[in-house]
Amino acid sequence: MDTEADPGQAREAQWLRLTAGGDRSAFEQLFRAYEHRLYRYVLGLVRDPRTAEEVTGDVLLEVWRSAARFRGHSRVSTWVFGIAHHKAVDALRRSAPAHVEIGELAQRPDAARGPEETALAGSDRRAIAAALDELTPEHRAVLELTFLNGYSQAEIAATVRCPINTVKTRVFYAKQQLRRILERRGVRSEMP
Amino acid sequence: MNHDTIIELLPWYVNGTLAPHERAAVESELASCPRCAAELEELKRLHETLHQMDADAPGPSEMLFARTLARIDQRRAGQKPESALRRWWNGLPALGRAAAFMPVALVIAFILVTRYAAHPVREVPLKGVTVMQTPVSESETVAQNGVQPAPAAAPLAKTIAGAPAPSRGGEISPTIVADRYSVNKPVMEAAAPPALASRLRAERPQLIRTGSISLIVPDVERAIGQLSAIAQTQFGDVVSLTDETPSQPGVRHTAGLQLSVPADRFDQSLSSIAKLGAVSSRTIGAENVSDQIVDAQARLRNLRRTETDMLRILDRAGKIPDVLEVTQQIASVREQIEQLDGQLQSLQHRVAYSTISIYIQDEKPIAAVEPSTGTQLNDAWQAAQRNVRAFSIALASRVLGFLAFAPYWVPATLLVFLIGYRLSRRSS
Repeated sequence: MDTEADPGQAREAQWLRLTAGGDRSAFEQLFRAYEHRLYRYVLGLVRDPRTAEEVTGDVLLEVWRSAARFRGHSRVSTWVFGIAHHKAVDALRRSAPAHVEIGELAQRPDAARGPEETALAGSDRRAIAAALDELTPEHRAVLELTFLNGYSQAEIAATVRCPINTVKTRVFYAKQQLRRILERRGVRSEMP
Repeated sequence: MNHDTIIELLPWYVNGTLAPHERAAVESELASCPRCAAELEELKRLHETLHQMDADAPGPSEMLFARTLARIDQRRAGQKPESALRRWWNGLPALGRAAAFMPVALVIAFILVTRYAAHPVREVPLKGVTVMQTPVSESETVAQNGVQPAPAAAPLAKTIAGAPAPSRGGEISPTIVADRYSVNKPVMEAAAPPALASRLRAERPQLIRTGSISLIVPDVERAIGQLSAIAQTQFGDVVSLTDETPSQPGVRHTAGLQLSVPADRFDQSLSSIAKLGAVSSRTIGAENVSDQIVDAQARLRNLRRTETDMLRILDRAGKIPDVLEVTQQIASVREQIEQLDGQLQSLQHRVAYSTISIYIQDEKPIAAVEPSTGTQLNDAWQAAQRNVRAFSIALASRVLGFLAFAPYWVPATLLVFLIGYRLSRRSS
């Protein structure tokens, strides 16, 4: 990906370079540009506002400390979100040691559509939002990175540190899971 | 590509990051496959919902930045600081590190060559302008003041460059002076025509100024009181306050405040705040909203004119459908005017009032309270009593336990005695 194509990206890379040199006002610019996005992403994963804020602070502190290690091979955003994902997963592990990671299922599910397949299209926003909160952190993360951050498959793979095929299956399962949750709650056409 | 592969690609078709050949494949499948089209609709809905949720979600606390700065400072104070040079060095790839020795060699060679070639000229006299010897780069200015250079400096430099100022025999043209050297300010203002000075004042950029400062103070409680007093004397307000008094010893008492002060008292407030304790970090930022304000004002003027015109049309309109249509249009214009007016006022308020975030922490962690001698003796007596009681209970429980096992040890002891007695009789 061409990192200098977008003026916004070039500006962020410049802030990061200045931050690496200890420039606090550049760090503040970077901080302000990311704090809200990071906080929401982390909150989606850890679900606890206090922990989310703590992790967001940790992430931005790490950005300050490791700014010099950014090589410019990726977008600043992918790099920062990579740190955030890693820290959020760490925080989740610490808070729930017994948390079982949802492994990828061995085989692809049957591609035939069940009755639940229509649940997503016919549900209102609030219902979808509530169902998103029930997803596992792994599933929620890939959906947010795809639709909110607008990342490509390769960028998501780099952020969550897994192979591209895993990214594809995770998004696929995340959608399926979402439909099942909506179906279970009996949410049907409530379009305003 | 088959149907399943296409289905898997759809999320990235929605976010627009597919490669052109993948996009083409998806589009051709979408045209022929109603299932794929339905799936696309669902994904679009999900995309929209996530964006809506994101827009509605709350953000982190206002104090997060100040807290992070304080953590950076604590880390620095706690460990050997990593120098900028070291950070740069760590960030280099292996080849880069090797290449880094090249400039060092060049610098040494340069010093050796130039050692004997002296530069006698130290000052360049120029008509009416004193040139300072040290060039000040833009980044240095930022580092010294912590503020981005005001955009007003740029038009000033241009005007001087454009003004007829003959450089009579001077080696440096005024353009270079304005660009590369800092110039004594009074001289510069004297050189500028009075009309220019007033125009510059009128065109002063509309800045939203924000500052954040971290302080280490002797007493947080008192500092909070002093900060409220500063807010009052500067005609400002305390907008938010979070006071975190730790419950266990060894942790520092911290508090975060936000003050809103009139913009012209910003610097004054900041310097009085800095006097309350040792400043561990300070950042000042400014956002230029001149364009936004001018734009909003122009749009507002246009909308008001449109409204007046429409009211005139309304006066002339005879038929009811016409009247209704014009009324509807006027309502919509009015709504836009009010919205824009609100935005403009909010911007102007933020320009007029600056926000200062302050993070304070106690210089010493909370100490455990030293009890009096009487209390200590009393505690010791009570502890001793507790110990005696515990010991007695333990002893009694062991004795009782021993007694409980009597059915085993009484016959065994009797048996031993009996055997001993028999043996002693036989031997005698």
